[in-house]
Amino acid sequence: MAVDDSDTDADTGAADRPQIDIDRVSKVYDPEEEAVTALDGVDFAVEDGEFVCIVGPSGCGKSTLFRIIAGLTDPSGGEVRVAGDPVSGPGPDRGMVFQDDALFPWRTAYRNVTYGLEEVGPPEGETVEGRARRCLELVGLGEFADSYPKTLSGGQRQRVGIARALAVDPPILLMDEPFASLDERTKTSLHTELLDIWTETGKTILFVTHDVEEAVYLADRVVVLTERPGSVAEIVDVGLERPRDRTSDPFVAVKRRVLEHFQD
Amino acid sequence: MSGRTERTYEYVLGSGVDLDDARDFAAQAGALVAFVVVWWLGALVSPPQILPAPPAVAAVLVQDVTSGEVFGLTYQSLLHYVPGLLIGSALGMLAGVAVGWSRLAELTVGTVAQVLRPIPPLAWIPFGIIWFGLNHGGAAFLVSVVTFWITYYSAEGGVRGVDTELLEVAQSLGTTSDLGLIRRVVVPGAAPSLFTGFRTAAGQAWMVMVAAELVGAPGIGRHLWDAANFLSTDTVIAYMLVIGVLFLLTDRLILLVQRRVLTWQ
Repeated sequence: MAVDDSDTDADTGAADRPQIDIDRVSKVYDPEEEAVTALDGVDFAVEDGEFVCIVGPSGCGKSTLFRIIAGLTDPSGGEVRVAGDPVSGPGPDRGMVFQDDALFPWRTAYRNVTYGLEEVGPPEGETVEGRARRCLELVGLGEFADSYPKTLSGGQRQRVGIARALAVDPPILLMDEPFASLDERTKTSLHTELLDIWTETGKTILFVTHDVEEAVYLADRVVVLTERPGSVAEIVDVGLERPRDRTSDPFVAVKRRVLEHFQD
Repeated sequence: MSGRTERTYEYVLGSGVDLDDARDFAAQAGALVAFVVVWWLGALVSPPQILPAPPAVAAVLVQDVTSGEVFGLTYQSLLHYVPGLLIGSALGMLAGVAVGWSRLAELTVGTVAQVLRPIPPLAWIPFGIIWFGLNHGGAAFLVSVVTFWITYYSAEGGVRGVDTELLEVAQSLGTTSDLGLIRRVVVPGAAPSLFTGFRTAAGQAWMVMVAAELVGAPGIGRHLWDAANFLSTDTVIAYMLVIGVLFLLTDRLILLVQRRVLTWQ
């Protein structure tokens, strides 16, 4: 999937529009006193159905970028367009998965998944119950439908979070370090599951992480941000067949190439 | 050993028995017995009006329970306790949620609240009488003043404590209006604080019963006060105990409901 990033601007027909267009996005905090530039002209696009990871050293503003794309923070300059429309707030076209799951603790796994369905209704031809059950099955938690979040493990909670985001069938899934607090084994199995879900549903996934190996394992392309102020250092085309072997020479080579940007 | 306090608490609620519980129970029972013994010894060396002995108090209790007077007085007190608690808590929670949620409410309602807050609740007694009369109305007013503040602050704190990520997720899942967010995220998220505030308020409402009934409403507090005027100190102590029991009953009842409703905690 070699997509170069020269098509970020001035698109005309809807067909060749990128799904997510991050157009020279900047963010300056506290502009009156000591201004801190978190993001400086970040510019790239994500195609429909693509899996893109954003990596960068801590403090590079990748979480800020995530929040801007999600519509939770306004950029100071530039804009983000989703399917051609400028983002002005969070919405059901972009499902969100956070690092600390952010499940509603007063709702069971099943009722967490139905939350969005209660708001926007199930997708065409499906019922709320059928859809919710199917999404829980998809993440392998069918039998935990009636469990409250506090009784679930970290990995299970993240799975519920993914099912909840998928339930309203958003074309885009935004994930902010969703597996960062999980142990290695759980993380690895969730990587496989996420790729299966991605293949099955054809979602566009934008995945923020500080874990370079995770990014190279998952993504079609890896967007590497520079240290503060964050801007795009390089967009690395992974170009390896899936499932990927984390120890293979080509994999390590791509990983090394990304890591080069982390060294000063 | 933080776990021990928790277990002691469980014991008081009457669930679960193990060795630790048995030891805790022995300590509690021992303390109560020692308390009564000290009281009794004190009563032996004082005139009965200064400190009546436990048997005298027990006699009053037995007599008033058999005659049904305790229940009649409790009923009278409930006639202003319940409406006062419900109205005060409802208004307190409403104002607290609003101030915790909206900047505008914080600047308006919150500011007025800060001015009114330092007024001792008992200072409202004259207005309780003038506005609502020397009856249940005036007493209910005082109870609602006391319960308003408790529920107001716990609701405000509870709302501020709701995880902002939950609000963001809710927005991404299609909850757009303020009212929707309050109903579907803020109130359930703040529910533990709302319950705790209500429980504290229900307890405090009993604590102020004597003062509230000074406005002329009949009930336990009034009865206690009349007894004091006749120096019937045995009756005074008897009704102190009655208020204590009512407090405990109310508290346990609300806790029971809380555990039913907030199973997710």
